Amino acid sequence: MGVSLDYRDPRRGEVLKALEEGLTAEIQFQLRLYRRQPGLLRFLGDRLVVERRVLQTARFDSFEGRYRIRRQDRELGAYSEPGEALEAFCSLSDFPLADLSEAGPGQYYIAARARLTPVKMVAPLNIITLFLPRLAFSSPWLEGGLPP
Amino acid sequence: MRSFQSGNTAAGLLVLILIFLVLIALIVVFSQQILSSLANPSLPANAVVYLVVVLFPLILLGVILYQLVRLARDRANRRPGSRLKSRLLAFFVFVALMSSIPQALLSVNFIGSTVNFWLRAGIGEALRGGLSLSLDYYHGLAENLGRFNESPLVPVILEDLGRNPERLWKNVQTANSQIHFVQVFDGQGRELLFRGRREGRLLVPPELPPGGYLPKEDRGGLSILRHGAEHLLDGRRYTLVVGTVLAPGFDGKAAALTQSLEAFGQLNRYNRLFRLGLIVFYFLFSLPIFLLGILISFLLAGEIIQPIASLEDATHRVAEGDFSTRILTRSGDELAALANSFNRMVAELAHSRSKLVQAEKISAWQEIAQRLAHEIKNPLTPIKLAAQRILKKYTSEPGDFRKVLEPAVAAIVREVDSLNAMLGQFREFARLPMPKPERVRIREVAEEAAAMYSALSGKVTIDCSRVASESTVLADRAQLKQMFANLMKNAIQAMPDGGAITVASALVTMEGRGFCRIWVRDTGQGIAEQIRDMVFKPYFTTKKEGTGLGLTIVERIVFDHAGSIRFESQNGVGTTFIIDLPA
Repeated sequence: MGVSLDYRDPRRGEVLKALEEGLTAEIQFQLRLYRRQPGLLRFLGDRLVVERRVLQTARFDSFEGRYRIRRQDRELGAYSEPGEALEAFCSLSDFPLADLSEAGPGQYYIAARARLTPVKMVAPLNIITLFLPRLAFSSPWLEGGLPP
Repeated sequence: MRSFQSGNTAAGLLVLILIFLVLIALIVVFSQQILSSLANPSLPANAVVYLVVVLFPLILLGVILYQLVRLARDRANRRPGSRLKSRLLAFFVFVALMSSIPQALLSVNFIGSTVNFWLRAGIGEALRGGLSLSLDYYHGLAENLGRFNESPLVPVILEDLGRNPERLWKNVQTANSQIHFVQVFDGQGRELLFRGRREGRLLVPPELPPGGYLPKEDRGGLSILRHGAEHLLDGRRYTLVVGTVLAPGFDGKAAALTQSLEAFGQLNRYNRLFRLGLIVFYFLFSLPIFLLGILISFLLAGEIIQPIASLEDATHRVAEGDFSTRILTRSGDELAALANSFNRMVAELAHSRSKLVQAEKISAWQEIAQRLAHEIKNPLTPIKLAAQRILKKYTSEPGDFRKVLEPAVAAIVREVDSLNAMLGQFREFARLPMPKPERVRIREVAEEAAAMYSALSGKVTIDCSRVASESTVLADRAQLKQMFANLMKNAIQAMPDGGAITVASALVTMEGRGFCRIWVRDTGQGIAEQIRDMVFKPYFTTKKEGTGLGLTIVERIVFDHAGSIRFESQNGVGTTFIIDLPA
């Protein structure tokens, strides 16, 4: 089962501004797959089946004149157009979360959120993130059922 | 023998100093690593750092607060040495602040100056210049490839493709020495030619972007630039790819330059915040050391104060009459010499006091013997006279003998009864046992004593309602009752025409100790001024039938209970006896 996400926020503009200044932006997608508990067990809460964190970074490559997007340690792509780069950076497309080929309808659901850091601080400058949490923006948790 | 020991906090002090040194060593060794990785919450090592930075100061603060509360309690209870300890502690903290504040200010200034130096020292310009040079070099190489590939010379060179490929390659190199390899594909995507450095070889024909510049390829630590262009030769379409291999390490150096510029950009952008962050971290790491210093000050103050507190406590005990008090000390300093001198002084004092008490006892008994002899002698004279009168009548006038016999015998019996009563009181005084203390309700005992005299009191009323019903003292119940009884009897005898006796009590504090104060007040004529010094003397009485031992017994009971007694008297108004007994 693949998961696609798209983070939309007015503050996405800050990402482009930071990239143009030669800084690196970071976005972290947090995905959770839950299994609904049957009957009375529902009161104990739903069971967390799997959790994944996907980290994507974007930076402008001055030599190539293109925006480079990386996921974990792998390059996802390079884009000449800032708009395209931003779309690729803020989205997660068909990310393999778990194999649910035999899942019943309505049995599972997914919760996801994103944490956008327009300027990814380098060490030791990153200590300021401890005092200034507004350097990063987190979306609320969103839930969605699986398609039939 | 009571003894006091000092120096038992040395082990605790040693442990604290050891923690202090370990903390400093950890900060010195790991500070750089901590600063680099602290913002990454996923690192497990950071849990330890947070523990040191957050939890450890909290624990230290808790211990210091506990010590402060203890000190405040000791001060409130006037515990020996508590005031001096407070002053010593304040002094230590003051010294610690005196040394820390300038150091902190210097460090804060130093942090600010250092950050400003890096921002102002032209490093940004140097980095930007370096990157610009690299970009010029890079773009120069790429443009050179494009210019060559699109030059009118290329179709001429390509004519050798089928005839003489070696000459083709040689001509390319002659025309542009910066081209490191050349590759030709036909319209079907088959490779027709490759010459030059093999790192540049493509396995499939490239998809040509607008402008023909292919993305830079990193292969085996080398960066490869390519330019592709389509050429028509004899009606056939060919794709010519020319490329250059960048100098080894170019990519790594360019990346390092980009990262440095990025870090510089961030430093420039968040300059103030970063300085603030460093300052906050400086204080976070300094705080545990400062708190540890204060805790060590507590122990040091305790260590210094211990012998002095012991000395003060011992002095109080000696003042209260405990001459068995001794101070033991392990140190060999001036305080130990002082303790030894004190011990010698107390030993000599105890010896002298023992002698004095013995002499006082002898003197007291001599006085009692004299008074007793005097008191016994007084009734002996009337007895002797009565006996002589009986004998005289019997021998000279036997007829009138009966007339003399009865009054004379009555006088003898009266005087003997008086003697008997006096000796009974004396025996009671002499045999007064040591008190057996128990928690006694004062009002109960006073009311029991009042009940004994209710029949005798006549027109005198006794009011014990001003004694709080829950008010208690640690005393021998029987002796306390006797004390009240004697005072009430004395008061009743002082008010032959009637009056009122009032007993009251209250809790008082004297020299930090709690006492129960009891007032026994009468509305009699008061005690004449000239005899006030004699009131507690044995066998002193102003009453015709008094033995002179009632108030002496009261005084003895009070003294045996470690209390004190005094009185206030005013002629025509009355007398109040004031007794203080330990609560």
